[in-house]
Amino acid sequence: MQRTPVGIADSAIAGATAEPMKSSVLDLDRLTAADTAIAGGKGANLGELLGKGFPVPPGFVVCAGAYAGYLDSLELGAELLQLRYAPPDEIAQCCSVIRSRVEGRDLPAELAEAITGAHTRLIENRGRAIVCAVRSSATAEDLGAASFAGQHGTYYYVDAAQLLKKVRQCWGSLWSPEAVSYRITHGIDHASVSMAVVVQEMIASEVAGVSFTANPVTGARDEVIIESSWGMGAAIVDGRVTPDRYVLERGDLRVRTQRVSDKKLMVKAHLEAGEATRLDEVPNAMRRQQSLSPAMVRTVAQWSLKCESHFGKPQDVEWAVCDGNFYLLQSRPITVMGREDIGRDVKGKYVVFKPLIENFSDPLTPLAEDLMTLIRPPGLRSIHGWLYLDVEAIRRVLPFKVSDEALADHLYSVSKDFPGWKISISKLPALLVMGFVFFLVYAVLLLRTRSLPDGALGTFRALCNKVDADPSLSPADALVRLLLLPRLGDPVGNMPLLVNLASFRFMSWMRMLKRLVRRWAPDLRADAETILGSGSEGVLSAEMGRGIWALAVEANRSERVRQTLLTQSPERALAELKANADAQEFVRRLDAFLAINGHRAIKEFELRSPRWDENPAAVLGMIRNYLLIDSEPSIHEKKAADARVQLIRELQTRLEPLPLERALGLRLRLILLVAERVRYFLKMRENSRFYHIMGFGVLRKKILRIESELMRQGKLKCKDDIFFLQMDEVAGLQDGRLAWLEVEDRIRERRILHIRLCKMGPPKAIGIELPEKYAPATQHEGATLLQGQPASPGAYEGRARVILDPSIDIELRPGEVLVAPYTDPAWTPLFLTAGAAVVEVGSYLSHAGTVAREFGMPCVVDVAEATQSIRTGDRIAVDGNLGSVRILPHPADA
Amino acid sequence: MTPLLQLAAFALGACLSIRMIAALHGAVDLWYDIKAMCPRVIGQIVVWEATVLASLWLLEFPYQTAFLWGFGIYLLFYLSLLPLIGLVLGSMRSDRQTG
Repeated sequence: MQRTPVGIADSAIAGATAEPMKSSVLDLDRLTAADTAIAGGKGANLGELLGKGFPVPPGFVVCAGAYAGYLDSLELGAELLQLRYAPPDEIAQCCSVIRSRVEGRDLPAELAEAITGAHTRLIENRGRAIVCAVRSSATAEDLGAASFAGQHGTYYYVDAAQLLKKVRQCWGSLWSPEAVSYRITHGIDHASVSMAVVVQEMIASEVAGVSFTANPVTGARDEVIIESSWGMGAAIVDGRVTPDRYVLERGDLRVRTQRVSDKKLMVKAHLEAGEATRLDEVPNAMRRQQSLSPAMVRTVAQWSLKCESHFGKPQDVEWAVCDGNFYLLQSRPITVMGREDIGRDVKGKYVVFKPLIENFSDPLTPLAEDLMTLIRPPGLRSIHGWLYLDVEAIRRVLPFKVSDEALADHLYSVSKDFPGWKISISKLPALLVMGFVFFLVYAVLLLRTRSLPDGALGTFRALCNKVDADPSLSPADALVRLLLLPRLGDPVGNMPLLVNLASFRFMSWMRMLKRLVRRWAPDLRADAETILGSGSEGVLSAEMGRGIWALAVEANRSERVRQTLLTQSPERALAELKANADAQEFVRRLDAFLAINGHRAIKEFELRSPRWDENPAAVLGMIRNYLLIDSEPSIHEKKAADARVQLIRELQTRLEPLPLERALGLRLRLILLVAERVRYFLKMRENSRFYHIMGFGVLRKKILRIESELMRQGKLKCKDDIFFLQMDEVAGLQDGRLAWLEVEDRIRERRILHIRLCKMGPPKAIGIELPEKYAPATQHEGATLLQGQPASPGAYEGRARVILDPSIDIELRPGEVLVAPYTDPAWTPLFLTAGAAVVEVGSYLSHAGTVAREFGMPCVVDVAEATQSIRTGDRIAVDGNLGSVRILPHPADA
Repeated sequence: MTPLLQLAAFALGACLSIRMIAALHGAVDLWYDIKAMCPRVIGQIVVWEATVLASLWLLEFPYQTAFLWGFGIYLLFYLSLLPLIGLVLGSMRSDRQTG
């Protein structure tokens, strides 16, 4: 990519020495919003708020002029000029030189005295020992649409001994490769950016969070959004915890929706002597407890709206609560990064790759993305952690006359029906050659996978164990060996991937089934092919569901086990059960279950997701879900099986009048044979995924070992940080080319970007418009109409229950309609009680569709923003044939 | 007609080669339960080997030669696939093989 060097004006090199050193440090309360050039955006805003009586912790600002003077004293002219003309691959090296100079030199004595003096006064005014937060406040932070969030340093628990060093590190963060690249990408002149540093008393918060006076994703102005968690707010900002979330009506501050999350970690407000890590586990009793009382929710909202009122535009507010008192830590305009901004700089036409996205809508973390695209299949591209299909590349090789838009539509919908495009004669010769080569390469595979017994892939587990035990194999090597190119002699080898490829034959078998049924029994029920193609034996994810049900049955045998599972948090329940003599049979069965299924996880394609054998809490959560319902899976399975038997009888009746059918029954046999093929390939597709995930489990184990070693050496500080690095960066940490200080900023920046992307979800297409049928909600005959894709036939009307996390929101009353952002095997128990399902992502082949068809319930997938448009308690009508969902008006509204 | 029939014999040789290789793979694919699967595995190998031998016996020169060429060329092609794919994959990841 050609990048235009952004000028580093001479003024930056010469330094803005006009700001005298004696005014290089100012108390916060002397600043106003107009002092951005002196105190940076953050410092000026906090000063303004403090001056107007807002509850801002006291502090002072090391002004931007001091930074300019210090930079001048370093005589970095040559280095800055070198950066100006550096090619992209040398920027990091140039930044490293500048940064080490900025952070390594002592501050001028006069400036150092001014800072320590202000710090001493701050302590004297408080009348007790305090630690401070040292926060960057760049003067360009509010430049237009540019958001520097996460790129500049912030340090907590800073005492007098560390103060000057941390100030220098804040200034150094202005010259991190990420910050410099960001400025270049956004055309921000390096000279226009200077940095003040805010030093404030650190609030030892028991609860902290962020609030938005408008929805930062949708832009809705009638909502106030509050996110809160235990301890300090850094855990939320860095994405280490999923916070509690409250959406309030702006007018009367009534809570519209709230979600209490499982808050596993907290950033402690106090750091004990000798402690290196500030992340701590939240006590069990508090994890699922609301972090804010209703009164405090109102307080937070009120102060946030006061900030908006004061600054005149929607605000993003950071706050903390200490000893029941509310403190404002930051208020800045909301920088909205819309979904339409994702991939704006990407050339080409892309449509989201649904087979992966249907399992979760969050983007992959950088390390998972790096590994998953280690060898990028042609026609696929990763954009911000989401995999996209390259529409133009695919169209070029398809032998059809089809526009990019029509192809994108078909690829997106993952329809089981062929759209009937015309064949392009000019492409045929090349295509025939390609097809012939494809046949030569895959012919043996297609034969091998025609009738593979269920247990054949089972030996893949042995290969996984072998690769896992080999320390010489890196995660990337393991990926290649397990899923792409096995060695000669590896049991089964990469069969899961090959079987997955081969099982796509189900589509042509399904098409044949449909043709046969419609030719010989045209007026048979519309969902006949779907019913005939369901009900396979030996589907491993279904076996897993039955295994969990069996565990629930076992738990029900002992009242004590049952009560422990129902009343305790999963972690505590497990600990209690292990210590309980009555529960040993249950524990033994749980272990046996995990020995088979322990590699699975919620959001299992993401390597960051803990596997069940690491933490069986999700399994215990599912068992608890089963304990709460009355019906059992076999009833649903029997219902679906009965429907199949009845359908076959009906089919037989309709075929009998045809010539020779009564005597030979050939047509029926042919239809049943084709249906059996559909079932077989669908089963193989599902089962191959079971083993893919097993391979990913091995990669995760290897990554965790590396992480553990890097943490032991002090090269990484927090668990999970490794997933926000790329493979070469991990290797750099391992071999000493990189140190913690060099990756710290990258990790923080990527975490923050990751959170933003998670909240937005992936755009369905980039560089191309999809047809209007995927548009958001419209009004239709008094009801709000949401359009999606049909995944399981039937129609149903009932009350909606919006569930965002199956391990937390477990209450689904019989007959309610499950509304979910995505589903995977962890959601299966909820399907037992649901009357229908509506899911935000997915396709006909997705987990939700497959399970719903097995249970014979209507299901609509790919309903954009369903969990936001539909509220718990809404009466909705689900049409699984048309793929539509109607939110019916309340009687009062009507 | 002869060239066309020779081509057909070549294609038949390649097809039976594919069948034969797939039947031999059965031993590896079903190794996990080879005792139970033995009749199936051996049966397939025997059937396809017999078909190959029968074809050879029935075909006359020059069709027999064409058949053998088809059989052998596909076998060589198949055996070269694994190292070839290894080379391709290796070149695709060579610049990133640092993890």
